[in-house]
Amino acid sequence: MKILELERVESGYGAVAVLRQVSLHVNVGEIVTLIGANGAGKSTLLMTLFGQPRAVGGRILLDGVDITQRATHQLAGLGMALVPEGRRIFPGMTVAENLAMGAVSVPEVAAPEVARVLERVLGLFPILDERAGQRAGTLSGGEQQMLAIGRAMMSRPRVLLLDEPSLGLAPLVIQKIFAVLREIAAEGTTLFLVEQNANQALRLANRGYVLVNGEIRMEGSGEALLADPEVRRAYLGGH
Amino acid sequence: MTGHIFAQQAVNGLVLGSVYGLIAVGYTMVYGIIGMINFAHGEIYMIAAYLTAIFLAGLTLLGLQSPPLAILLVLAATIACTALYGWSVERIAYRPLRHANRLAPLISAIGISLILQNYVRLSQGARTQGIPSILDGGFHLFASGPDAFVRLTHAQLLIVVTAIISMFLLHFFIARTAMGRACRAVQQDRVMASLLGVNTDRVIAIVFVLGAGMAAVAGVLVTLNYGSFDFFIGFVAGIKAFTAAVLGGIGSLPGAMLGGVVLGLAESFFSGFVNTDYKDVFAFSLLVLVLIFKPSGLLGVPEVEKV
Ligand SMILES: Nc1ncnc2c1ncn2[C@@H]1O[C@H](COP(=O)(O)OP(=O)(O)OP(=O)(O)O)[C@@H](O)[C@H]1O
Ligand SMILES: [Mg+2]
Repeated sequence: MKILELERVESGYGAVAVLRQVSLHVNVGEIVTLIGANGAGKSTLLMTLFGQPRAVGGRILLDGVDITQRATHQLAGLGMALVPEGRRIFPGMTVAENLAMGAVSVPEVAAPEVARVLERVLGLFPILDERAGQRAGTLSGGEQQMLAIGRAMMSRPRVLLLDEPSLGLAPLVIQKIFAVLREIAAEGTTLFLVEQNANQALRLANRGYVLVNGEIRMEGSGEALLADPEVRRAYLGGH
Repeated sequence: MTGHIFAQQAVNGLVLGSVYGLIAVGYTMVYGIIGMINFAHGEIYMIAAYLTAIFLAGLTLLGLQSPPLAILLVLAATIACTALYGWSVERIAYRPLRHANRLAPLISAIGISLILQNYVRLSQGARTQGIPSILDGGFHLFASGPDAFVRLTHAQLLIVVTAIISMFLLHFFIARTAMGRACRAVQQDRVMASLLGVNTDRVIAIVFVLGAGMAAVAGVLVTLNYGSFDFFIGFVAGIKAFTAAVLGGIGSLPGAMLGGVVLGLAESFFSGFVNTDYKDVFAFSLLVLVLIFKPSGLLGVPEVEKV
């Protein structure tokens, strides 16, 4: 069963076309990764799912329903959450407030549920509990990334989209974050992971896509892509 | 004697500053959230003055005698109507231009400002209008002789107290409620807020409504105090409040309040001890000085609570 599907999606910024006829899908419960060089259009693809920028061609389906023209703010409530490029936490708010913002799409009646998810998030990232009252802008890069992931989890998304969560982090922190992602996936959340860190990502993923200049150039299982000589040369440092 | 004059100017300045502060928060909140100076904001204050007179007349016709009750009702009705004006201005003049060139909403704001002024001028007349005073009397503080005292009228006291209460309520709303948190989120990263599910158009509308409501409080209080107004009062009040907002650090809520008080005190002391004619020149010189030494304004650091 497909949870997310892109059909020949075209997108870009004004006159600048970035995505060309991108088709891909993510099945329920899968971990799918998208790798590609700088400027390939990976972040644009994720943001296009949320209508920022809006797709100018093709269709985006969530649970088989066309969401291409949905208002951005309605999508979180449909079960998608994004950990965006650059984390984009709210720097002037406390850690606790940032997490609360992650749950704005949850209806009032589910408040007890939100409290449970919060406990779960703080269990996965104890540092967020310790820093609950601290301004998020003063957190370290790794802590901010954990906060961005925690915030995205607060809406209990069925599909969690992550844009280079390992960027700029120390190896130990990356290990920690990938461990958490594995755990989230094991609980049944579908993951769509954009990564430069292709090695890690392909090891974690069931399937992967390679984006080149806004086009899907290759697709296959994680192992198949890891073994592919072209992928190795371009994204894995040629070993 | 000089002590009394000093204290008197401080009282007057505080009253004036409270009014500036109330209007300034509207500029600063709108700027914080959409990065735009709402040049029509002063007109909202002017409209509140007219509404005050209209509602007061209506209540008098209905035979309402008690001034406190009348003030409360006028305040509530004026805030409600003015909030509607604030909402409409955003809906008609700004929202359609959300993704336009930055200059477009500015022009639109000036247009709305002219429309509101002339709409009031045509419908209410260009003359200066007045209302009978319903708030007489006051206190003589520090009295030490027939001429040596500090006068604090009931109206002045009402202005300061209401301003403090309004500011406190606004602060509580922004800092403590879920909707206030959404406002801060939109101000810090509008796209991210919408990704999380915040309806940013609604939040922006709420900010305009809040700003208009605060300006309405100022309009009602000043009208009750001075009793006279015309269709052009929004211009000067708007410029002064805008100055206060920039002085305090545009985008900062506490900055707007502080800027208002500083500007009010400065003006009052200058007219009391130096010269009344040049008080505006002094106010703007002060702004220039502050901006030279602290370009972001008194409290204009990105970290402070903004919206
Ligand atoms: N807001 C924007 N306005 C105009 N062009 C943009 C904008 N954002 C991105 N682009 C362009 O779109 C193209 C794709 O950018 P995108 O950020 O999607 O790449 P990416 O694959 O995420 O790269 P990276 O790995 O460096 O994050 C680039 O050429 C970039 O210059
Ligand atoms: Mg990117």
